[in-house]
Amino acid sequence: MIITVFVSTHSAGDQWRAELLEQAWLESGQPGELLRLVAAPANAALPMHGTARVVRTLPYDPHPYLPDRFSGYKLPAALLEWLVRESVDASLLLLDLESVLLQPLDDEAEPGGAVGHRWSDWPEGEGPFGLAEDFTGLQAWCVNRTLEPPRVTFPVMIHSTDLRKMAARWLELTGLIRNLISPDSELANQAHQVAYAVAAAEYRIPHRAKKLAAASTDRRAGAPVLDYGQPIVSARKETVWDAATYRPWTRPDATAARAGAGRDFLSFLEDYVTRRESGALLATRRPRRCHGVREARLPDRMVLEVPGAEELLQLNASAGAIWNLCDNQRTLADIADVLQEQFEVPGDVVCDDVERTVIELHSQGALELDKASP
Amino acid sequence: MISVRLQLEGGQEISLRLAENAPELMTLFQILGSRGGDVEPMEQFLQLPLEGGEAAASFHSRQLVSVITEPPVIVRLETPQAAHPAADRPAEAQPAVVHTPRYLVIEDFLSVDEHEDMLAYALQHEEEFESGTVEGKASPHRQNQVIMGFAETAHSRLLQNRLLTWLPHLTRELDLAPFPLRHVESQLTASNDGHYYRLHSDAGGDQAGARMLTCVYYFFRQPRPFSGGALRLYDVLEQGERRMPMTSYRELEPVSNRLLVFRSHVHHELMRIRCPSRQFADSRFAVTNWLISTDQPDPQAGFGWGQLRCGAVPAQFEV
Repeated sequence: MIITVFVSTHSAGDQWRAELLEQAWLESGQPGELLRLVAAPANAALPMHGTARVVRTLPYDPHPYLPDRFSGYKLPAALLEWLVRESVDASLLLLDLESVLLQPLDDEAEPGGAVGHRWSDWPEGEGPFGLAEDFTGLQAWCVNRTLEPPRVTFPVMIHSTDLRKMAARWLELTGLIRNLISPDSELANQAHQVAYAVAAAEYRIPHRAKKLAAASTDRRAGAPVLDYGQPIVSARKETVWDAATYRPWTRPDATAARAGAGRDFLSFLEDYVTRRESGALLATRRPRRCHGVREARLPDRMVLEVPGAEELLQLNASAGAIWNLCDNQRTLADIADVLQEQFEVPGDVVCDDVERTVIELHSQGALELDKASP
Repeated sequence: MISVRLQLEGGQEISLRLAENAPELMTLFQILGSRGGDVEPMEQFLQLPLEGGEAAASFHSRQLVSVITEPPVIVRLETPQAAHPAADRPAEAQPAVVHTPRYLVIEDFLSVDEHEDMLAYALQHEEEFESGTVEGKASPHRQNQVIMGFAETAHSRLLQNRLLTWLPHLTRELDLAPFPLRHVESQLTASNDGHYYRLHSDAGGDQAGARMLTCVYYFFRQPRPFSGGALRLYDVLEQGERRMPMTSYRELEPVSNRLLVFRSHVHHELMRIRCPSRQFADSRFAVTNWLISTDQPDPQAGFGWGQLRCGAVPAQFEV
């Protein structure tokens, strides 16, 4: 069993990244489960997904006990919390939010045998653990300074028993390193990556280094994962696309990008946006009613009783009409076609309604969704 | 006082007298009440006082057939979820509820080297350990050896820093609202042949200034050079403000490099240790950290290595 895990906040900026990652995960044929850990306050609404399971974790930006804002804390903090709460016994594929899976990574990790992406830019130097001298202060907080950390970063495939051992130390070291390094230094942004490697060494969890990911700046993709965190440039090295400024779901121009991993990513995004706009994605999803869901029709609404749920689901007239069309045969596109004809409303409005309602019913446990085929 | 006659399998009868609010009386009714329902029947070994505590009747709960009381006793057995005793009613008028304490076990708490370093520290400081006997009415309440001033050491800080990294998860898992930390009390103990700590709790309640969480980190040589030394966490009978330990418990074995965390008001007992070699190095070592709350939060107070500001509840964790 492989669980692909990624960590995010509940912000709109993270939502489009999560949706893209989910679609790529589906299309790659990656086996197992997709899990999104959302570091969000208890009163924030959780995002919904057609496929990914969504789990809320404590917000860690800022760090609750350190006067520091750093998005890197939420990764170890969310994973630690999840592993405390759920007794997981599986291989975990840890993906960065700003990445997409293009090919399946289906070699499971055994306990004591993790695999990580080779970190070619490891901040090497004369400091402890073969790190740059900026990290010298780490010596005060580490019992064995002669260890050689695996020079790996994300994505990582690691067994849950190993991650459970080292996650707290990973989180702790991230804070200690952030306290050491000047916030202006580029190294400060890598604190969670260095902390992961040092914690893995301290907890004797060997990692095999392998090329698992290509950066959007690479001349050639050639890896199962594509990381699009870096701006994508043209042949003349002008930025043609940047995740930091991207407005979802505008269609990018992949041909403007220099040939390589960046253009591959933009082609994927362009294709996704096109299919999303046309409603073609809806045609690949077929909702099925979950076993045991009971329905009651009232004059003004419909009520669903989902096994195990504390409250009844109240459906208004349009949600009830969509539920009635979920007959295990129709795709979302079929349902949208019927409703468009029946109510004479614009196609894009109907598609949005159908998608949103079905995803909500899916997240409430009333519907299952077939996996999309490429 | 209530006259109680117990009928056991095989026709045996035991007669004794118990106070109206004796936890043993409630235990007997709960054993009978747990049979025939959807839940697992309560099973436990029972010891009841006879002749004013000079003797005891011992039997297994399975042997109990019926309980006859004089005068009649009407009990209302409730599940723990149903328990919300009204504060304005006298304790006797409120339903009695049995609570099983929650706890959290974290294996491989420290890294391999940190764990070995902690053991080396204890062995190097053998001379500094002093008797930790606490006198009770009839016999010592506790026997072990403790080291004074451990809280000031780098080893204590290392442990504390890791522990506080876990803090949000500890409170959440143990159903405790986040609290501002005033102090972390730390003690290193060595327990050898014949050592024990009788039934006790570490705190008087959940009020500010109290010990909130008890965190026990075990470390010792491998293979384990002693037997016994398990920690028993006792179920508690709650009736209004009263909390009385019952005879039922969960027993947790000491495992090297394991952290065990429970709420400090939980009644617990360290079972007697048998260490044939009687060598100090073969002791069961443990660092116990008590997390103490405050009603005067100090957002600048540093803990662990000094950077962790746990003196106030973080805004994002406020309930």
